[in-house]
This record gives sequence, C-alpha cells and structure tokens, in this order.
Amino acid sequence: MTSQQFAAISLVLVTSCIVAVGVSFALSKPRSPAETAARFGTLRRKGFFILVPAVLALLAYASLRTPFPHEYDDTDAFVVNVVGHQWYWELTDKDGKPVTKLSEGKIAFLVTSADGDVNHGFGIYDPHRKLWHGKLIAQTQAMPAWVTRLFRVPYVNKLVVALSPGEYVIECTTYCDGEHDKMKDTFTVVRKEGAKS
Amino acid sequence: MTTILDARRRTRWMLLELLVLFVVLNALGVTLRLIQSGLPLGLSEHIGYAIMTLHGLGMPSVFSMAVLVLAGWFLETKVDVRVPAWVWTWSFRIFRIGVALLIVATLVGGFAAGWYALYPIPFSEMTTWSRPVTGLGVFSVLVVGVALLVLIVALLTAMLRKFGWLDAMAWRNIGSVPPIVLISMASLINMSFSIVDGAWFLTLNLWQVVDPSVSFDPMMMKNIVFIFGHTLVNADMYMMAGPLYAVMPKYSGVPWKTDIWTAIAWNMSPLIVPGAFGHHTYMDFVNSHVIHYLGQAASFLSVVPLLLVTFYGAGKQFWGVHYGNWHFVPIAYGMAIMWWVIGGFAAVIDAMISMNFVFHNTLYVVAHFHTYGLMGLGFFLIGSAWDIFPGNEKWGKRAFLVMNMSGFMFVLAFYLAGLAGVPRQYAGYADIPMLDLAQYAQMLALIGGIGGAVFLAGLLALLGAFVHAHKR
Repeated sequence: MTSQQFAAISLVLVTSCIVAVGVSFALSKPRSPAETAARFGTLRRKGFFILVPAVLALLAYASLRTPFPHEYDDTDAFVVNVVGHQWYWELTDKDGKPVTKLSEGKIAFLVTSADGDVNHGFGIYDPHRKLWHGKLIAQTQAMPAWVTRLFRVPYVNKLVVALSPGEYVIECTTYCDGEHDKMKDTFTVVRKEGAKS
Repeated sequence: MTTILDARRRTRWMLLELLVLFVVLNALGVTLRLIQSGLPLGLSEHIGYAIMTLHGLGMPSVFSMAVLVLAGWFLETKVDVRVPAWVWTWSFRIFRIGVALLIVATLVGGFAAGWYALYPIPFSEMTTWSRPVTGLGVFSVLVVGVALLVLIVALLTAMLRKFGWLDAMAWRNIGSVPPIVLISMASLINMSFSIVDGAWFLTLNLWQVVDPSVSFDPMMMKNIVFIFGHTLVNADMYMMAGPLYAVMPKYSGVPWKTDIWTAIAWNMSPLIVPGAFGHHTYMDFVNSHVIHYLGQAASFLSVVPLLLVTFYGAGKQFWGVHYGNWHFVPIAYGMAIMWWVIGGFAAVIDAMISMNFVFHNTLYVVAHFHTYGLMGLGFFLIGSAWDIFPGNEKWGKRAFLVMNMSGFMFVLAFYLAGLAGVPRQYAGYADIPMLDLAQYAQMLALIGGIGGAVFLAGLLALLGAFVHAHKR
C-alpha cells in the first residue's frame, strides 16, 4: 500500500507541476489570433488522436486490475466477525467468543453493523508505519443488516488481509454521528505456534 | 404583485446574497478546521458535526444556485435565452427559505447527519438530535432542490423554445450552435436528473420521519444519494464551461465555436457523468459489481472528452490573450482551470479501486473536492461575476493572488493528512490512539485553518475591490 500512496501523491504533484508550468507558459506567450488558431488547429487534432487511445489504454489496464477482487480464498484464513455499534466495535471468533488476539497470516474479517444501527467504516491502521507511508492499510464498510420486501438477508462485507504479527488499531472511517471520532479498538496479531521467528 | 427587477440588478443582488452565504459557510468551514486542530475554542464536537453538515449541504446549494444565476445571465445576454423574471424572483425566494430552514435545523436543532445523511443515520435511536429536526433538515434540502429544479426546468425550456432539441444539442448545424447553449443543455440535463434523484432520496427519508414503521435498504439509499451528490457537483463544474466559452473570446480575440469534437464531448456528458458515482461505493464489496465497473469506467471516460475539448480550446484562448488584455477575468479563469485539472486528476486517482482502498474516507477525498470545488468552481464563479460587474483591477488581482496562495496551503494540509490516512469527518483527532497521527492531524488542521482564514480575508478584499470600483 505504501507504493500506491507514494505513486498517488507523486502523480498528483507531477501533474500539478505540469499543469502549473503549462498555465504559466500559456500566460507568458502573447500571440496573434491567426497564429494561435493555426497552431492550435494541428495540436488539437494530434492531441485527440494520441490522447484518446492513451487514456483508453490506461482505462483498460486499470479495469483489468480492478475492481477489487470480489471472490476471496479464505479457506485457511483466521475468521473474525466484526460488528459495528454506535460507538464501539465487537470482534468475535467463529464460536462467538470475544477475540483480541488473532493468529498471524491470512485473516478474514466478516464486517457488518448491528441491527438498527448505522453505517460504519472498518479501517485497519498499523500504528508502527511512518506517517509518510500511510497508516491506513485496509478498510471496508460496515452496513446494518437489511430487510427487503420479501426476505431478510444477513448483510456482510468480507475483507481478507494478510497481517504480520504486531498491534493494530481499528478506526471508524464512515461518519456515524456523536462519538464517531472516538469509535476505535485495537487487536494484536500473534505468531502462529511453532512458527519460526 | 411581484416586484420585477431588471436582469442586471437582479443578478447583482442574487450574486451578492450568495456571496454573503459563501463567506458565512467558508467561515464555518474554517471554524471546523480549528475545532479539529484542538484549539480551545469552547465549541463541542457535536457543534463541529452540525457545522460540518451545514457546510457540506450549504456549499453545493450556494454553488449550484450561483452557477444557475451566472449561466442564466450569459444565456440571456449572449444568446437571448430569457427566463421570466418572476421565475427568478420566486425560485430565489424558495431558495432563501430552504437555506434559512437548513441553518435552523443544523445550528439550532443540532441536525448533524453529514451532507449525505447516510441512511439510516437520521433514524438511529442514538442520534443526538430529535426526530422532528431530522424532518426539518431533510425538508430544508428538499426546498432548496425545488428552487434549483424550477430554474433548471425554466432554463431548459427557454433554450428548447428558442433552439429546439436538434440545434441545442448540436445534432445539426454544428458550427452555428453557440457553445454556451450546448454546454448548458448537457449540464442542465445532468443537474435535473441529479435533483430528481435527490428528491427521491429525501422523500423516502421524509416518509420514514412521518411513518417510523417503514425502512429502506441502506445500500439502495447509499447508491441513490451518491448518484445525486456526485452528479450535481460535477454538473455544476461542467456548467461553468459555458460562461468560459462565452466570455474568453472577448479577452483573446480568438473565436470559440462549437465543432464536431465539442459536440460529441458534450453530448457524451449526460450519458457518462451519472455513472461515475459508483466509485463512492468501492469499499462496499457487497454492492452490485456492475456499479463498481461502471463507476471505474465512467470516472475515466467522463474526464477524456471534456478535458481534451475544453482544455485545448482554453489553451488556444489563453495563447490568444495579449499582454494588454491580462485582465482579472482571464487570470481567474486560467487559475480555475488549473485547480480544476489538479483536483480532477486527484479524483481520478481515488477512483481507482486499488488507491481507493487506502484513500477512501480519508482527508484525501476532502482534499480533492476542495481543490476543484473551492478553487476550481469558486474561481470560475468569481471570474464570471467579475466579467459582469468588474471591480478595481489592481486590488482584485492582489486579493486573488492571496486567495491562490492561501488556498494552496489549505488544500495541501488536507492532501498531506489524507496521505497519512487521517479519517475524514472527525470533529477532533485527540482520541486517535496513535499519538504521532493525532498530533500530525491536529497540526495540519491548524495549518489548513490558517490557510482557510487567509483565503477568507482575500475573498473579503476582493469584495472590497468590487465595492471600491462601484462606490463612485
């Protein structure tokens, strides 16, 4: 995720610089109307035929890599049920017991909100990462169970992440009124028994 | 009997009133940033959330109305498309009522559901405000929507009456269609679609206020509200290209006419823009996959044609502007385009799912929409208003320079906080259990707050430059 955030911020900065240079260049070159029209006539035609395919190629590439993988292989994952309440998190294991220590490796979070509750955002933060690397490492939305006109469906978001041993912080990332900014929790990922250190 | 003011007086009055609202909402935004910084202002976090709600709902309302007022002026003066004066008067009166009710609901009643009132937040038993206040808050937004819709329909019918569908959408006689007509048509179609969709959302909410036994699917409601919000602010932004096309040739001496590419690009806009909302729901893995794919594709595609056509066209205009013609207006438009591109590019980055995974609901999101909202759309509005009612050039330019620099400081603080992963919509960061992140977020909130305050001072100076030129 670090590389993504760096890529994003450097893309923003580089584009901003290019745009700023472009704007100042445009501002500094007075031209006659006729000259301008001639110059831009060709530039625009060229621009259209180069830029359109380029952006379409980018789009195709981005779409191949996305959207977010909807099917997960969580057969050997440590399963944690997460329920968001106003304004606390409830983490239980598959037997329904409260859990704060998770086993290292692939972890499947099954995230939802309590009945009659509101939306929450389940954001996992790694407190040991540097600010510049971004501390938010994964997230999904927690939405309350819902009722359709015909039947009731348990509504669950599933997030599968591989976490290394250490402490993690959960913050609510979707506005949920009142104590939203205080809605937090922590959990620890511990080494699997018998694993080499 | 309605007092009918002539177009110029009416436009000036409405713009001044909207500017006052803008200044107030701006000041509230700065206050929120200062509350976030942890300064002992004596304001509770709940007040912070009420302010956030008013700021988030008020700003798009003011921007949308200002866009319609300015587009209406240029349509009337450039292509003689007239909306009856009583429509302006009455829609603006309705708008005033809506905004007044919104202020009462948030600042007096404590309505703090956030701009998108993410269902079912207004109906939680834990809400910090009462159920009637929810009704008032929802109703106030509906009233604002009605005011906007009246004007949108009036502008659309006026254009269709004069040009007809085929000419207005440039399906024939491409070269003779004024660009402002084509652009306004495309954007108003988007706007009307978005407002009808928003009215649907608000009506469902009102229904539940009246009859608490009903409830709706939260995912459906989330999709509906983002179709509304995303499409509306996008359409506002695109609509301001109309005055840009209409005004720039005056300063550049280069004609700016509709050509085949312009026609294609703007005709694509109502087809693509509403689909882009899907990128707001990437993190709802259970949402329809079609919406996710559509969101990704539309987010990219909506940028391509309009960006190429408008920015190349604008480049040609700016190159045509001679030294002597570097008035306030082309400078404001130039900077508006720059911030629009920067904010728009940041938005496209966030519209990629892999990026969204770490940027969704962080201050990065807030950063990008302040970049193209406050400084993109805001500067377009200022430039267009200045063209109609020019102020003192020298002082106007100085104030505008201050606004650009402080605005950059303001949005940069958001970008940096977003990069670190600071969540959005927090009234305070003191409770984040990561000390470095909490302190960093508070420091950036203070820097952003100072930037915002200086921006506000620049805006007031700009108003002073206008008053200075008109007092004689």
